[in-house]
Amino acid sequence: MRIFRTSTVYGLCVLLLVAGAALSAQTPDFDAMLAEIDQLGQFGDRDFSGVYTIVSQVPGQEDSVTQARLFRRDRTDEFVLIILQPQIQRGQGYLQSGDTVYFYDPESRRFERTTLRDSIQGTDAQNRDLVRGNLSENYRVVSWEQGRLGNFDTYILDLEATGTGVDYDRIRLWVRTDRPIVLREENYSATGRLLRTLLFPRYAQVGGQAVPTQILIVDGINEGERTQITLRDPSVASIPDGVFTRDYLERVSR
Amino acid sequence: MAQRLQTRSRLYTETGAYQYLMETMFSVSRLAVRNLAQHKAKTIIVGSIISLGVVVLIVGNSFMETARLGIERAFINNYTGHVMITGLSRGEISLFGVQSPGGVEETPLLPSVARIREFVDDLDQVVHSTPQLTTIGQFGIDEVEGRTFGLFFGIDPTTYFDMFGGVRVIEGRLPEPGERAMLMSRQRADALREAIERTAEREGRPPDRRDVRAGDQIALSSFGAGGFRIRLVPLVGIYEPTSGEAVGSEFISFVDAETIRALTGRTTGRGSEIVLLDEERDLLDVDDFDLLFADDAAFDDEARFEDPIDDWDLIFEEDLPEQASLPWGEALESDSAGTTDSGAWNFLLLRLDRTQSIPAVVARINGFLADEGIAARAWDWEQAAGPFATTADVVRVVFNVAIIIVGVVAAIVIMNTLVISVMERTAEIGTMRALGAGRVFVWKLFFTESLLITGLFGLIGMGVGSLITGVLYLIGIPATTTFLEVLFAGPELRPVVSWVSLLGSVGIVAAVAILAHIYPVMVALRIQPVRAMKAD
Repeated sequence: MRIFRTSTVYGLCVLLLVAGAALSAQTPDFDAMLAEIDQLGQFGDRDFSGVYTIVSQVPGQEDSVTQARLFRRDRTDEFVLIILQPQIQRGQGYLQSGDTVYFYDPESRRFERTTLRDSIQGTDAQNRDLVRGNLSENYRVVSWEQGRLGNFDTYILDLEATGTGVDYDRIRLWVRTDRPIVLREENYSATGRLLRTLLFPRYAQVGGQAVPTQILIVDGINEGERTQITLRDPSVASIPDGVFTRDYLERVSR
Repeated sequence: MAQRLQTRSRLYTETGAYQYLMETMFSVSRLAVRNLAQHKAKTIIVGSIISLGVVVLIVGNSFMETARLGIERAFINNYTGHVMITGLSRGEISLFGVQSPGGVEETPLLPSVARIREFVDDLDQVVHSTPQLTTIGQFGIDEVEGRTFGLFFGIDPTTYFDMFGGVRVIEGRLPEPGERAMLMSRQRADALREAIERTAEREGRPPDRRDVRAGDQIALSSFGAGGFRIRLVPLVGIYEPTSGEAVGSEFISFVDAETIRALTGRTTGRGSEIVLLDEERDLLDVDDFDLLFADDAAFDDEARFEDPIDDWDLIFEEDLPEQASLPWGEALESDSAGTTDSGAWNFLLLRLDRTQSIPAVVARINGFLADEGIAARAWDWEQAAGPFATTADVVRVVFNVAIIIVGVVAAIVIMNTLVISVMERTAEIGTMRALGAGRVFVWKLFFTESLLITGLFGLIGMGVGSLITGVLYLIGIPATTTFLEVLFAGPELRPVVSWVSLLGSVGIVAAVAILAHIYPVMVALRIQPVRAMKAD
């Protein structure tokens, strides 16, 4: 009896150790996953450009459409965004150079300092949605679970901001289990209110990086308000240095 | 007492009911006066409490009433007029824009302005009318670092300054009709100067400018239908509000309407319709988000691994591309954005002959708008004042509640004192009953005593309350915080007593005093006279 009991205890211990090790082996390294997600959307030494179409839907109003051309250079934290449509905004542009973001108005030919948090044409899309994110630096994973989204197995990660300089205090991410691609993102306020939901149903791989080519943004506060962002002509071809200057914005929209 | 009661019986039988009634009233009154005089200490204590209650109510009511009238006057005279007519919006609309939770809802344009104006100008009650545009944004001196926020009213100087005369120019002049011009408040000019100094300090250099003066070129930036925009406008003058009651007016800068239209993208011919590909809007109609991820092929990225553009080097080989050589082969022509819509206004503001006309005029205009099928609506000044009036209302409610609490406490103290006073006279009531006094007689006696004490000490309270309010009027209570400025509708409050407040206060205290007698007298009357007499 004693032998049986002793062996049973040992057996259970071994089983627990094995199970624990197996469980530990299955738990992904989420810090690394966030870093990979960031990395996948960054172009390092290469430049990136593309044309974004932003269609915004507000109940009872006509859809508003904005088209913009983006030039990105992540290695120097620079980008230029030039509005192509609508006609009334044609030639307006944003230039980020280091920590400073300028807005350019071609009609008055004046620059104004602004921020990445500014929305584009009053839609739910923000300038920061078109440039790289910094999840691994600004957030930590506080809980996770596995789930399914459409045909994909996903990790559902709850992220909490590590500092105060972020737009959203909490984020929930649906990340594919087979590769670190975000399919869905929910942004929450500090009080837990859902502010907006982003869905990324299509990606393109450009120069080894994954770029969402379709994004649907659903406003969490104003019911029925939605915005779709579509990317076309993505490219990682080299962009001349002169593009990332105020002169370029002035010249191109003259 | 016994003799008096016998006399009552005799009078009733010999001289008829009327004479009996008069005599009874006289005798009851005489008895009540005598009782009050006999219990001097008690009378003075109860009376003082009644006076104090009246004083509290009068002073409190004067505060409330003066503040309410002040807020009404401040808004009507300085910003809103009596009536505001606007286009329709989803969120709450006011003269300061549309309140939209979590989003930015553009302030709607007022449709059919000319027709509406024709109709309202024919109304007898309408003394003045003026159209207005409103937007908020940043501003600074052109080519000088440093910006601050402001509220911009796009106005027609011809009618605006006739209707709202609360502006005193301290430098420069008023804008002329048809002129591109800005009139800035001194407070905003100071704020801009400080912003320029702060920016320079942050960047470790001396400020580019140390003052803001008429003649400066001002860069306004705002977000509207045309996205983010910047417009330049000459500063023609700096003003101060003529009256301290114009709370918040220091944030307002007056700008010509054309500049505000250009700033907010109020233009005609906004460009051709944009043709979209299906894939550029197909997600907007999806209700079940799981369906977006139902197709594995959506992530089959192999086809997109190649760079879609082969000739990037060619495009940029001349360092900077010509307009026509942008990747998408389109030239950018900013001058094709259309011209400003000179008929575009957000609001039509009306000044009436008197405040009492507001409901009738609002109803009449709304009837006209409905009949004509114009998507617009008329509102009173409180709606036009928007969040400012709401804040003032909330503060006023808090203030009212505080006064009511003080009033209730005063009423309870009065009631308690009167209850004790009546209970102490249980033996006296018993004696009266034993000598033949009926229940009604006892009720009458105590009722008369209440009326006398309330009347006398209520008058004293009215006098003291009016005196205190008068002194406060002469001194003026300073508004030491912005919160108090909103509540007082100016830098100080000078309370004024109204007749309504005077009579209302005495009425309330009299009602309390009379009600306070009912229960103890009722209890005393239930006790057998013999037992009641033993109670002393």
